[in-house]
Order: sequence, then structure tokens, then C-alpha cells
Amino acid sequence: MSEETVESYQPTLGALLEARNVSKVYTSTDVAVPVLKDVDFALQINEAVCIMGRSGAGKSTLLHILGTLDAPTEGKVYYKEEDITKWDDTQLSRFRNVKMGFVFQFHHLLSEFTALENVMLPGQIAGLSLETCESKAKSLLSELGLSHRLSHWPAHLSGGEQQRVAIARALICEPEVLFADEPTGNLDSKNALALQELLFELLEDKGFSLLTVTHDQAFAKRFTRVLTLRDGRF
Amino acid sequence: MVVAMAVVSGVESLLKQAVMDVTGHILVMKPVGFDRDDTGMSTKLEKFSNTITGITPFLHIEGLSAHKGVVSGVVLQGVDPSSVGSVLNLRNRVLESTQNAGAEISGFDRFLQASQGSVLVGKELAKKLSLSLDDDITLIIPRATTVHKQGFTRQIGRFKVVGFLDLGKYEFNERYIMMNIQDAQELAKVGKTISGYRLKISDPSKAQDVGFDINRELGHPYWTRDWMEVSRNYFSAVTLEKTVLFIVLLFVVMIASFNVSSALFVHVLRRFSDISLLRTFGMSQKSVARVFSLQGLIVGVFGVASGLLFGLFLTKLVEISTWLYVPAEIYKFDHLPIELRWLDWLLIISASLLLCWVSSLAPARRASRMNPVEGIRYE
Repeated sequence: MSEETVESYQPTLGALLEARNVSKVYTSTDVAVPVLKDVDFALQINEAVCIMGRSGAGKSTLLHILGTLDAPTEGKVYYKEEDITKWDDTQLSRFRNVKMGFVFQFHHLLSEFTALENVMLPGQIAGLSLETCESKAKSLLSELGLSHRLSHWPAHLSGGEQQRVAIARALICEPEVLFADEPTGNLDSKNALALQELLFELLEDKGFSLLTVTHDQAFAKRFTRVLTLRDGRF
Repeated sequence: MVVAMAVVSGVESLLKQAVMDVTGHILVMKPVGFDRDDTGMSTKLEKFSNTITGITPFLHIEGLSAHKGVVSGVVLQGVDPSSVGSVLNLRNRVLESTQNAGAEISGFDRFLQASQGSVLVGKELAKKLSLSLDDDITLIIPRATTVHKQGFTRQIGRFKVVGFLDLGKYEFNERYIMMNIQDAQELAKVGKTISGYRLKISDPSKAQDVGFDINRELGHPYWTRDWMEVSRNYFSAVTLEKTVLFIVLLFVVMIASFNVSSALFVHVLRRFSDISLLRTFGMSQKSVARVFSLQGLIVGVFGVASGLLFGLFLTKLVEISTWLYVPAEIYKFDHLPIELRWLDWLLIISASLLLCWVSSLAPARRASRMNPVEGIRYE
């Protein structure tokens, strides 16, 4: 793909987040491994999209690129029609902090912080006052049924509770997009089902867009749009 | 570093004090000596009345001393009892005191009160000659002459020892004898001739500038020497030693700061997952780097604070210890002097903190450049 052609791309009108002709190649000891090949994808406002695919198909890589955690080897990523691949680290960090939330397969809670402190963390990075962070975190944790677990350490919470704290942490800055990378992958079926219910309740209640990567067919069926990645392509 | 700098500063101060106490701040001399009633010079010095706070004549003679069969070369310092106290600080440097009519009287006062015939002897010289208080000491002054076939004649006098001097420098203590200037003049048969004047000025640190001004005012054949010039080599050596010591010890601190660096590197690797998570939630590379460099600085602050406290403890230990033997004949003093200077502390603190901060930059940069995707991939 020539540079001239890439520059001539026009973002899709009305899309919240869009990947255009995104390719990702990992190079290791002179061996180039293409993971994504000319992927086009657009996420609309308040849309819930599920990406499926076999292991190594490039699902998480696409999610990381759309979440600005990784940069594409080629192609562009647009946020509300603005090319964000040109942004520097400070702009991207601020963007992630304010506009995006992340939930991973593993909860990744900081073990030295309580549930409440973990949830407050992104708010503090955003520069919100301690009082505001605390009040928002308490309110979110109560909403997720964890009002009795505020001062508990992550190690003292169950797997489902840990993942709910992680969701609360992802939502404290009221993001426009929530990225969930196999959020139920590490939970038993009962907790997985409860978490799925919770995610869709929050989606309806808070009005964010949801982009989820999962292997769970039952979970995928609940999404309005399901895409499957095969060998780096939809 | 604190102890080493305190000792070197202590040595420097000890030397400065010794030189100023014993020689005064400025010496005014003529190559052939001059008459004590030099009114021309006195008139010219009046211009400096605001700066000069004391003036006293002195006569410097080299000779021999003898007591109980031991002979030693000496420097006789003829001083004027009526004015010497206004220039030289000898009161605290005279060791022994004696009882007189029930009252304690210091050797220095005895020396001032005795019109003539008494001397103060350097403590090392006294030891060498086995002198005790009120002993008589024989002083011999050689005088060049063409009459005798040996080419010189000798003047001999006997004087009573009324006190011993601790002048702060070994080379002073092993050679100096202080006596009434009239006694010295009579002994040396020089009439009213003196070697020069010792001046005390209000600010000793300006002695060099004031000395230049006086020199310019008095003109030829007068010349001046300030207290720094008297022991210039010595002070230069101490300053050089202090600088070299600081640099060498700074290298030791630098090596220690590598530990801060390696500890932070390990910390960064252990915290890879947490750093990635913070990056995911919007912490910028700059902020991550700032966190780790701040951590390095905090480690530095604690390290420096505990080092200073330990150093302070050691300096106190050195100060009060009697078991630390310092050979006076080599080092010119017989105990380790300690002086804690704010400037030294400031230098030690700022250099150590700077090194700690610099050593934290590499791990901080490493932390900021980590790929967050790698850190959040696994638990």
C-alpha cells in the first residue's frame, strides 16, 4: 500500500472509533510475523461488538491498537474522524485515561491497594480530586454490589469480585469505549454469566460502546454485531 | 564523607586559628628591622584606624636554649606585654596556672605582670628540655662579629619559665619562646631595634587586601605579610587535600549509587505488570519516569539523612575519643580536630542527592519505555 493511498483515506462519518487498513507485523530475529492484514473496522456510539477468533488470530492485537496501547505497522486509527495515530504519548495517555476503559482476562488489580483505592486510581491519574475519586469509586462499587468490600485487599476477594472491581476501575472516568479482553475467561460459568449480565446492564445504563474479545459462543450471541478474525482478517 | 570533611575542615580551622593567634593578622616589616619609635609609619597607619584594631611590636631572634644538659634551637619572640594582648590571642594558649596568695593566676598573667626576666615556652620544647614551672632556662644568641676569629660571639641570658604555650601547631610548640621585647633586645644587643609590627584587623578574611593597601601606603622599604601568606603552602596543601578527598569520596558515593540504580532496575522489572496497568489507565511515559526518578530521590534522601546522622555520630566519637593517637611531630597537631561546616554539609547533601537522582534516571527511562501490552498479557 503506497503512502499516497493511505493518506487519501477518509474516516467513516459518525464512527466513534475506526481502524482503516490496519496491519500489524511483529518482527523477531529477522522473522516477520504478520498478525493483522489490512483490517477495516468501525465502532459506532453505544454499540456492542464482539470479536471472535482462534488463538493467535489477532483479536487482542486489534483491541490493543484500537485502545492505543499499541501502534499499527500500517494503517490509521480514527477517533471521531480524527487520526489518532499521529498523536504523541502524552496525548494518547490522556485519551486512554479519559475516553477509554479496559477490562482484561486477569483482573490486574494492584495488590497493595484496597478495592476502593484500585478503583480510584484512573481518576487520580486524570487529576480528579481525592474526594471526587472516592465518592465516584464508592458509588460504582456499590452499584456493582461491592459496597461491603471497599477496604478489602484484592487477595481477599473472589475471582468474580476481583473482576467487578476491575470493571468499576475501568468505568470511573466515564469512558466512551470499554474494551474487554476475554473478561470472563478466568471465571467459572456462574460468575462468568453474572459478569456478562452486569456488562450489558452497564452498557444500557451508562451508554458507552463495548468492544469485547471472547471465545465464549454464548456470550458472543448477546452482542448485536459479532466479527470473526481469521489469519489477521475479518 | 562527613567525618573526613569535618576532620579536614577542623585541621584547616585549627591552623588558621593557630597562625592568627600567634602571628597576628598582618606583619609590617623592614628588611633591616626598624626603630620602635618610627613615627612616620605610625602616622601613615592612622589612615587605617577604622580597620586596625590592635598593633604591637615584635622582635624575632633565632638562638639556642639549654636546660639540664639538653640544647635545642629556638625562635625567640620578643613581645610587648602592654600591647600583645590586643593583637595576639595567647591567653587561652598558656597551659599552666599557679596559686598566688590564694588566687589562681594564669601563666599568661604572670608573664604580663613580671616586668622582665620571665618567658613562656612551647610545650613540646618544654618536654624536650624537661622544663618545669619556675625553672630557669638558658638562652644563647649568636652574634656575628669580626673581632673573634670564630666569626661570632654569643650572648647568654637566664630566664624564669612562668608558663607553657600550646600554640596549635607542632612546629610552633617545639621552637617558640616568648619573652619581654626589652629582654630580647638586651639579650641580642640590638638596642631599640624591632623586627616589625603585628597588626590585628577587624575582618581577618580581608587581611590580604588590607595588607596590600598598607604596603602601598607605607611604600619602600616597608613590606607586609598577611596571616595566610605566613603559612600559604600549608593552607594550599590542606585545601588541595580537601578537594581531592571530596572527589575520591564522591567516587565511593557514586559506586554506592549504582546500588540505587540496580535496586530500581529490579524494582522496575518486578513492577512491570503494575507499570503496564498504569500506562493502560492513562499514565504517560513522562509520569512513569517521574515516579521512578522520584523514588530514586526518596531513596537518596533517606540514604543521605541516615548517612549524615551516622557521620555526625562518628564525628562526635572522634571528637571525644582519647584513643585516636595522632603523632604530633608528623601531623603538626596531637588530636583530630573536628569542625562541621554548613557549606561542607550542603556540598555533601547536594552531591549525594544529585548522584542518587542521576542513578535513578536509567531505570526510570527503562520503566517508561516498557511496552504495556507485554505487561498485561499475563497475570
